[in-house]
Amino acid sequence: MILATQRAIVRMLFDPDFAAAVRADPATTLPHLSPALRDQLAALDERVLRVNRLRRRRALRTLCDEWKATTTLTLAETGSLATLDAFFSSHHFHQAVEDRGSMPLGFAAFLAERIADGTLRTRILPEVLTVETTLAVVRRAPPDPPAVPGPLTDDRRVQRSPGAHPIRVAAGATQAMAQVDRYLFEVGLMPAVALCDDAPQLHLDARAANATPLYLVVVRIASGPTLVTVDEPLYQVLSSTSPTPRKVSAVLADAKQRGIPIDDARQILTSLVDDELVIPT
Amino acid sequence: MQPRVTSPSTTLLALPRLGVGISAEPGSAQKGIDATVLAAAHPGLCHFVEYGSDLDRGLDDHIQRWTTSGGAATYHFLDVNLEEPEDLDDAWLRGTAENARRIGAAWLCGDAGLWHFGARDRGHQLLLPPILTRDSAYALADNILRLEAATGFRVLPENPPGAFYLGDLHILDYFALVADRANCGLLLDCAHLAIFQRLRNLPATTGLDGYPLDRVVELHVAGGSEQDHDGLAIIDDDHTPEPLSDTWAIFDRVAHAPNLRAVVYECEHNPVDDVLANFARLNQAFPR
Repeated sequence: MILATQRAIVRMLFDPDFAAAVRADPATTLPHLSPALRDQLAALDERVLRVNRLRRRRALRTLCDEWKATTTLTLAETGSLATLDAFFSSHHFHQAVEDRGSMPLGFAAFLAERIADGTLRTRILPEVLTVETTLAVVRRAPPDPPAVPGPLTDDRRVQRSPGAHPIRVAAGATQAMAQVDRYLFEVGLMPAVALCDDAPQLHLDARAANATPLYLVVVRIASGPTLVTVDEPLYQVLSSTSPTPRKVSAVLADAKQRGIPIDDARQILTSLVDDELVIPT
Repeated sequence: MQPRVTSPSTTLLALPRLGVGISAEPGSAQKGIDATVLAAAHPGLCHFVEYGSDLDRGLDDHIQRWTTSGGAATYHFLDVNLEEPEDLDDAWLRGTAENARRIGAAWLCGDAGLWHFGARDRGHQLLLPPILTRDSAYALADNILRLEAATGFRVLPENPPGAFYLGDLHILDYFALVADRANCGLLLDCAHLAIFQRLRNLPATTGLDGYPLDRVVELHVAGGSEQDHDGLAIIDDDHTPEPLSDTWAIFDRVAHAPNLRAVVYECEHNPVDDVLANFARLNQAFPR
């Protein structure tokens, strides 16, 4: 009950629409709270919820730091901050708070939904979102389990390191990210240019439209997650592993289905174990 | 409400008397007050540092210099929800105990509120006061016991600031319940209490009669500013140099608590010259 009340407060602080719903009909909006506490919530002066008037903006800045290219491309497409601000009124935000989940990963789900429903249409956006979301996932990955030494026989079990995640995207994604970076650097030199009609504009060039498949592994290193470009066979073998233990024979069979000969797959798997991207358990 | 009265345990009574100290956070000495510089330039005013941090930011150079040179310290956590059992995970317990041991902390303390919603993650940080109910007080007390057992440190819960407080208890009665159940010491933030009393339209010292002053080990004193938000008067706990008169009234009432060991003047972001007089006043009231 106590924690549920705290969660309701957080939702009211971030979402004025939700706060209004609590005020209008506390019993329906917060049926799981005690009548006494929900009545107190409903009676809260609206102004106390707005004391920190930059609460949403500060949270959005933190989110935009991680999804820098995705959010920049979104703003470039829509020209509206409200597109991103709507996250705090979305079920993704409220669910993250209620489920003790991750608000940033909820933000990624919100953006993915906007792409899926056609609200956001920039062609490279899904690919960029995939890259930045994978970086965010790896940033939050738990530590590796201990490796169990020994030969990599077929009946051994291996699992992918939580800090290693293979992805396949259009090559234009990383180009778009680099071009967004350059744009943000330029406007960051003098943020007041946002007020100018002749301010720098974000224009993605042809390289950002390159649809050639690019195989990447997001890898956790000491300073954080980083992108490593790999060849397709390595991508396929790493994709054949899973975050939970799996028999080597099953990994190799899966890799074969993906077009990698067994002997090659075994050699690649051994190298992945040596590089600690795959862990024998 | 009249809380049950028990006596502070002997381990609580054995805590060292630290005197008057200053608060610090990661990086605060770079732009604000460096305790080593303050202590050297103005001997006798600042006797220890209360270092507030979270596991992400850890210990900074300032606190390590201070403690390496023999300075006393306490560790103030900024990243645990004491009402939420799940938040006291093994990694946090281990890391916090390790940081506190490295600076030779005399004890752990921190606002007993909601420091973040959900799990610890980017953008989840905030500070909300606890829900002032008996259930919440018991949950808080049980987690203090867990924290003390896991770290080996005594833990002093602090009354947090807030723009509003929910629940049917007065905040002093709430912490009296906590202290009674956990048999713990208390950190009374005089400025935060002044904020609470103002929000409830109560005189500054209301509730102190039923509050277990013999459990108060540490006091906080800090400046605040009265602000107007669309006609709503709110005290901003902004740690400017000058405490409000209500804060001083509370301090004067509790400075003679029998087991008081430390007074922290939360002023590290201000120019040194602006805080010297208050340091002197605090030392006069609570000599080391």
